[in-house]
Amino acid sequence: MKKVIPATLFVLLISLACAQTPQEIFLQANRQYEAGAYEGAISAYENLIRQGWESASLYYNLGNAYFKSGKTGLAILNYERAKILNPRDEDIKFNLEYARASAIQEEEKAKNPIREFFTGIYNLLSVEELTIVFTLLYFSLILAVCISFFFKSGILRLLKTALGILVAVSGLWWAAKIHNVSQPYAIVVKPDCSIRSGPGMEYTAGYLIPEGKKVLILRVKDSWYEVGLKEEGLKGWTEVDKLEKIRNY
Amino acid sequence: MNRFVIFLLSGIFLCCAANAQDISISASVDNARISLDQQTTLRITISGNIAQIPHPQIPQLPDFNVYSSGQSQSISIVNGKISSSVTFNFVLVPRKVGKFTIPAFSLQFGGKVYTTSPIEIEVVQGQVQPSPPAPSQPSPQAGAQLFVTGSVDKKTAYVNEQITYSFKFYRCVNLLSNPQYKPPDFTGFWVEDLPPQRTYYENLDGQRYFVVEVKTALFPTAPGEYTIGSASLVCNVEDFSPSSIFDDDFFRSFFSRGKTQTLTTQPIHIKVLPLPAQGKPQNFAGTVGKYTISAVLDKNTVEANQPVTLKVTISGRGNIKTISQPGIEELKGFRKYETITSTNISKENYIVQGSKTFTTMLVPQAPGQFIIPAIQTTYFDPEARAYRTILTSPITLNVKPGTGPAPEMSSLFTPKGVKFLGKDIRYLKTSSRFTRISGPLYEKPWFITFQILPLIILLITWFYSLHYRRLATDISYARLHRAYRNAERTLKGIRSNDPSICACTISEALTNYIADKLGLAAAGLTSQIIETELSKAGIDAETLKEVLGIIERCNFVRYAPASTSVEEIRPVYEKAKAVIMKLEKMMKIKKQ
Repeated sequence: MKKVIPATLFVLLISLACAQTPQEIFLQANRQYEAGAYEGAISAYENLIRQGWESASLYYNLGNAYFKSGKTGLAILNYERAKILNPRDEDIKFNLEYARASAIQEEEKAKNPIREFFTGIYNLLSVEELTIVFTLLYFSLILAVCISFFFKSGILRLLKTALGILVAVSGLWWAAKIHNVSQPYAIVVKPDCSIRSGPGMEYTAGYLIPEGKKVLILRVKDSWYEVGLKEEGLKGWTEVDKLEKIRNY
Repeated sequence: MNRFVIFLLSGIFLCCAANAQDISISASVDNARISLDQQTTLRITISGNIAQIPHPQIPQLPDFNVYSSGQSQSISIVNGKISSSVTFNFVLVPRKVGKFTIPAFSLQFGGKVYTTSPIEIEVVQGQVQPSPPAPSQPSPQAGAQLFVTGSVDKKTAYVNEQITYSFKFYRCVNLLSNPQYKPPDFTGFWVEDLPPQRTYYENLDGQRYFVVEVKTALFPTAPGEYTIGSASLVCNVEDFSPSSIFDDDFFRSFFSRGKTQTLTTQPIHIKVLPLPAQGKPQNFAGTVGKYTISAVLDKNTVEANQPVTLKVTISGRGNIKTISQPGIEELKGFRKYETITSTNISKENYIVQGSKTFTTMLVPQAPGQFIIPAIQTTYFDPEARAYRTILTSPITLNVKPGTGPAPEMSSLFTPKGVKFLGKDIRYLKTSSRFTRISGPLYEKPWFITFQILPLIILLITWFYSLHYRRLATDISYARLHRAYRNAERTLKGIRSNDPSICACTISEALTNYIADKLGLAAAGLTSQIIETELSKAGIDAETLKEVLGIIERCNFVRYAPASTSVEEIRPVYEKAKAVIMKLEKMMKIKKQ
């Protein structure tokens, strides 16, 4: 806490000195984007992030700017980050799918309606929202149990059961979400990322993965990542600078 | 089989009108001298001027395996007279070496018995001869009535270079049915048929042959030594064995049975050379032959976000199907879609040639002038024994700013399904609420601590609820629990200035407290009982004395109120308070 206050003060001072709120910088960057100056927009958005601000819209707009300037990998990375903060947003979902389709050019998978349904529900709340929902439900349950020590009534018992189920469901959902978010996923941000059999240029390159592909980082050694491709069941090593982790804190 | 044949033939006599009828029967074999591994065909011919020919009775042939090979019948009606002829064929396979006689066949018809003459067959020890169904030599031989040859145009070739295999069938006799060609084993080669088959006449050693030629193009797939196996041809030709009784040309062509022959070619050895390593270009993809390349765009001016089609065509001679896609560089400012290939092969002059077209759809993203750079590919020219690189000329494309919204592509181009080709990403978000970047909430220490808090509250509440319930149900527990508080309340409630009332209340508070604590009834509590019970509860003598002293003093004041003033009561009050506090502490310690 002691560290946070001076840091916050510092940031506040800087923003006062610049006399620009994040909103202003954001709108300025949007104007640059509209004018087609994607590079300028990118640096403005990135600057905001470097100053310690974030929002789903910021990542989304940055993704758009990257996409327009041809850096599909970085675009996908930012869309993924935006999606973590706001998984319900249709625009983010659409652009992510679109960028993925144009970068990876993979065959469209047959859509499974049941799977789609559950994914939809799963993506209804972001991890932060779920944290709050779970906490509130959990507190209410405890409260209900405490009250039930002193008063007995059918309504109270019903409430307790309902809250118990809700807490269990939201807890599982929350845990799954946390697990998913904290997996060290990364996006390939350089074109034609060759995957080698070991951490070094002397190892043979087994295959190439396209820019924008989502991979799981398994291990780190020097300046090499061991990555895994879940769907394809492949594994191998690549240089650190070819990838960018989705979770940036 | 043997029995079946006999069953079929024996005992079937058909009676017909028996006037002026005449039949004849004959039996013959096509080869009277055979080796043990050969076979001979027994032919029984019955002919006569009747419509229904009776079946002959065939005797037991213990020295042969007998197989029926069918029968043929011909009926002719000339000037109202019927004549018919039936031929029964049997294949005889000898069981042992020696001289055998096939006994006479007999046929009962119209009261008469017709018989054939016996036939002698000599079976000799196996001679070195070709397989039984192929009595003619497979190699080309002058004077033979039919033979086949297999040849190639070159016996040494590079990988993926065309080798033409020719199969020729020479004959100077008529065939009874279409011959069946079985191509040789072409393992190790990519095979391309070269239709049409050619037919012509050729003179060979004075004999005029009718030749049928079938060609096949072969492309070796890997270097090494290979063998093209034997090709075979099964054909049915006229039989010229002079054993039939109708031994003239007319009947020969009419009644003689065809003979099945299998003709085979000699295997051919091919040496396949690897492509030279020297001078092999980096992007060489195994294309061999002689080719040209061209590239064309379907339009030279296009609006942004509208597709153009780039067609790269490689045409020439060689194995067209194996031509790989020429490397098209990543075009900046374009979105590139899957390349569709189409091949067009012709086999003119028995050389595999044609073109392969690679169609790529490009969608320019922004207006401007773009140059599609030269597209190159390399191939190996086996004639010159060198690698060649061929290039297209660069193409200029003018991209105008897009006007209308980009159209959706038809599914024509991508057979796998419609893709959002003409669509674009969705537009920017125009407003946002920003938060500071910090770790997620669930990782913050205060949050985790905060999550434990309700559990502690729960525990406390539970313990309290236990106590609460006991107070409600257990009277002695409730009295014990409330004793001190009640006593304190009673003492504090003294407002009166009357010393007797004050003393009475003090005494009451003290006795009630002791009664509650010890679980006794307050009404009958005398000093004596207090003394015994308190000492039993382990209260020391000094405190006991104090308690009794207070009670005594109170009683004194109660019964003689005039002698004391309110001021005198005050120390008693204080004392009582102190004693109760003391007792409370002592009892608690005792309880623990």
